[in-house]
Amino acid sequence: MAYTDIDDPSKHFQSVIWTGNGASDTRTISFDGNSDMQPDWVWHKQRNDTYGNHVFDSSRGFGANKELITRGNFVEGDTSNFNTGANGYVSAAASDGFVVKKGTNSSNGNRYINESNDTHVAWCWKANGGTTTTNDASSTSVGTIDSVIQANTEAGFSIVTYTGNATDNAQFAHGLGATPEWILIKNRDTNVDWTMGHTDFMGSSAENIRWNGSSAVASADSAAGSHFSRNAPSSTVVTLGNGAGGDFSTDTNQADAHVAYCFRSVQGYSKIGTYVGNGNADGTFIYTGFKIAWLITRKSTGNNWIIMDNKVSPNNPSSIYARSDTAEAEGTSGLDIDMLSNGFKIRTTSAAANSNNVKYYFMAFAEHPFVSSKGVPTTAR
Amino acid sequence: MVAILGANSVSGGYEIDNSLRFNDGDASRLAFTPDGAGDRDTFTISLWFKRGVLGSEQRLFSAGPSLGTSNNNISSVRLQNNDQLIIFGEISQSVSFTLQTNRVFRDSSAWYHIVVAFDTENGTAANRIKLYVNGVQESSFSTANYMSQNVDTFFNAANVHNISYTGGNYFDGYIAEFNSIDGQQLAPSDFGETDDNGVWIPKEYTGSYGTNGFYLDFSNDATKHAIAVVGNAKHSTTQNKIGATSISFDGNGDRLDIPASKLMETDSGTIECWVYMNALVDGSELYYHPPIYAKGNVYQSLTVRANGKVASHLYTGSVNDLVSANAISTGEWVHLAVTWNDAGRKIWINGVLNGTSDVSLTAMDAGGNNATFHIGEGTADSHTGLNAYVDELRVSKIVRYTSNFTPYTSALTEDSNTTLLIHSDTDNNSTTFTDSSGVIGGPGNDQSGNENHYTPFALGATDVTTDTPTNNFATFNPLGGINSSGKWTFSEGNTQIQQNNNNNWRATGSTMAVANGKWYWEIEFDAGTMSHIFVGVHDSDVSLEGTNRWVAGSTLFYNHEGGEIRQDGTNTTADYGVLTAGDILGVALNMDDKQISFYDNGNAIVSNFALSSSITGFAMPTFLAYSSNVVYKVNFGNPAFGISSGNSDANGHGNFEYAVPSGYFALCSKNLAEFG
Repeated sequence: MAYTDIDDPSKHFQSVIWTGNGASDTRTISFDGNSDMQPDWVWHKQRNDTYGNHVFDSSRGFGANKELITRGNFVEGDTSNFNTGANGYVSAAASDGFVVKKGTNSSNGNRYINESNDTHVAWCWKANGGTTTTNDASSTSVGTIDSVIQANTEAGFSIVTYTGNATDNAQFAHGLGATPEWILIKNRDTNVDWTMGHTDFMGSSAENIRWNGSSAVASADSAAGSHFSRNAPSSTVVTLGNGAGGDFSTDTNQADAHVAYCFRSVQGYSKIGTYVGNGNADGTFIYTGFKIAWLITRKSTGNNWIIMDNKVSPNNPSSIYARSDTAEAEGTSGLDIDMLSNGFKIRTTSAAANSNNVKYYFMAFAEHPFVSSKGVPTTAR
Repeated sequence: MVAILGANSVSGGYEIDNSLRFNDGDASRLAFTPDGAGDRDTFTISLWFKRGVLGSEQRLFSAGPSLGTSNNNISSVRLQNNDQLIIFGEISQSVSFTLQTNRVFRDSSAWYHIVVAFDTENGTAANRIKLYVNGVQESSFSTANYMSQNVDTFFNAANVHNISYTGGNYFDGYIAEFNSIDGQQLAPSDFGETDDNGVWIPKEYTGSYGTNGFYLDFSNDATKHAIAVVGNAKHSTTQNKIGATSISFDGNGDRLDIPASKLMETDSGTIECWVYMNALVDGSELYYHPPIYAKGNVYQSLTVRANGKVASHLYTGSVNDLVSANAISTGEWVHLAVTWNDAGRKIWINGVLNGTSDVSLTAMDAGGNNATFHIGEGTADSHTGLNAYVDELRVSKIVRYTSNFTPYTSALTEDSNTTLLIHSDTDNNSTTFTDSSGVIGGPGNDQSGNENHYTPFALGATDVTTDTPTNNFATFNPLGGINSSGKWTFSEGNTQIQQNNNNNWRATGSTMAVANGKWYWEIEFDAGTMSHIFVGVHDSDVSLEGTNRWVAGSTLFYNHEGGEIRQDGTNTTADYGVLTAGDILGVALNMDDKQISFYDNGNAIVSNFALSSSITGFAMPTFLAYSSNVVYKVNFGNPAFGISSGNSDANGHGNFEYAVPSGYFALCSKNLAEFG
């Protein structure tokens, strides 16, 4: 069988950086990848200041006050803290990028996303072009609660919206066609934390980690750790919490609207895994089988999230990083990582990426597979 | 006997067949000194490289007359201790230019392409040196000090040029597709292109090379020309000028053919010989070079007319004949020569200038036609054969004569400017003709047609590999397997490792791992203490960092200590035998059926052993040792050691000591794409 089914990852994932120009209304931000890509998930971060970590998607709809904030527990479109309608937002997907729009604030309408001379990055994934399917659980017998699915099964990514039912072991269909290995869930209606599930611990005794926080993996025996079931996700459904803390209704399954972003590894394109630090600047090498375009890592015992990409850091060492769980501008030193043709290598002793004998979670996406199905090897980085 | 397998197969697109492996521990390098200066201001260097040892100063290419003499005169492209790339020049110990990247080059699993393009005459300082990496112009430099305008570098000067070396600082790794273009500042698009998926890939350079330019494809091809006899051409003792014989042409279908020749496609040169005419037949051809259509259907010849005058005949859409002022006669030895350069061409008889034309033979320069060159007669019916004896024929890529001279009367010796040299000093009627010019063959052979051959030092046949930018082979991976007691010592393009710290575990993986398919590789052990040797696979998701990986889960090793299989840290009870120094351990990994087999010198010792169920993702070839100073030499198909038999896989890839098991393949990118 061929090494990979995805010879051109830019059909499914792209990063883009831009400098704000203070446009009077809208501005189209275009990708520069090999293929045109209409994104369905846009995650924006201002690089030189504190704004951003705003997430928009085509299932919930782009537009004013449709953002979710990764660095807090805020509801969708929180206007008291982050009024994107006033300060700027992603208003639509474009055929090869997306449109940013000035908010209604007459003096700061571009503040979040297109203020003159501010620098920005967005990480974007393609699902299904905004076209969703609805799983009627009672009809299909897949899951126990209905879900609206927008899936890119080829690239292992789906956006799922559902309304919780505050019931133990509730299940929603995810549409990936294979078992998800990384799941992000956010309650859209209530100020509760993001939940992240990883294949390393979902279904075991430690069951979730906060995307908007820096705490350690929470045990399923605690209230904070009960948001996924002890039953690991399957190729069809995700099972929500029934942890010993009995706190199932808090984060993932209240009777509220939720969104879940589900990922699985696809050979030559994406990899979800773990590594163990060695505490040495000549750090751990992690094999992915592709040249890295984007990388997120998180220390299991607690630290900030680290995000790197090949647009912000086109060369090695990759030393510019963002965090999903804080408001800070991007960091520029102290966290060197080499993104390589077949994986990545830690080049720092920072605890955020390389404490000795400590486990880290990561998810990575490809710039190119290590070799295409046509036998073309990628270049060294 | 060393067997070198054939080049990589073509699967569409431009294929690079070979690379050259440099081992810094061997002080391996290539060197060449031009006879004269080319363009020292404007030129382009393009090469692909894959790194071996990291973290040391290594020169990719340098030129200059002195270094380390407190009077450095050197221009170089080198990798720094911190793995950044620097383009650096000194003149009389003073720094002339420095361009050092912020980027580090320490991805040793794949190939980099760099283009360094100079134009010191450019009015904009930042345009005097341009560096491109994988097709993209580098813009981030830790130091960017450009030379003053019009400064001459030492590249293309008449001083030594080294690939991999100047006063130490040997390169360690692989180099492929080395183009040096004298006189042009080119773009990466001349040497590479982006494929449909956005990957930067090599393409064939088709332009000219200039005086001191060269092209090293590391094919190890000989540059001596093959000489084919047609008709009754032969050595004859009837007449002889130098040596016992001369070459006899009877004027009736006799000739010597030199196929795939670029002899007359240089921008300057000399063709000369001694000739003894038996008859003056109008238009009889001493040599004939057929048309180069890409250059406008140009062709040329040297003919003798019925009146004894000699004509240098050139056709470039119209005829241009340079006819000698004097005539030659039958029955005597006469030395004839034609020289050419940009200024035109000249004809010489017995060392005396006999005619000048401002129309040069450079119309054929770099024609790339690889046409067959004929001596004694053209090929078509309209051509007229030479009825004469010819002796000591030489073609050179330089103008040998600029004023009247005394022709040679003894056998010539080849030099770096000689592109063809035919002696005749043998048995009567012999039909064996050899070219005594050039090098016998070696990895430094220039394939540009310029004959700017590089002399290899500490580089042998096993250093010519098929690990290339178009078919990347697995090697040991020096980036993994770190522990507090240090690392292995890596060498030979990361195909050799040595345990250098007794009583400490070492582990390393390879640069490729596989989830599917069937794969074969070999490991030779020939030094150190033969104990505590573990060879097998581990799940690439399991870290090799730390110590004692031999007790870890998600692993399966052949354990030389007792000849056991050690799976997930536990030995089986079977004893499959131990290795002895010099043995070659074969590993056949079947990821389709999750099995592994081991061979000792081609004999199966473990067959179809089930892999650990905990190996769920990529299985990575893995190597452990505790033994003192043990040396592993891995052969994923590009061995750094001699192969006596030479076995490739069913796709024609790899070069193994023992037969590759049916259905198994070498671990290289072409196979990985198909099966992995």
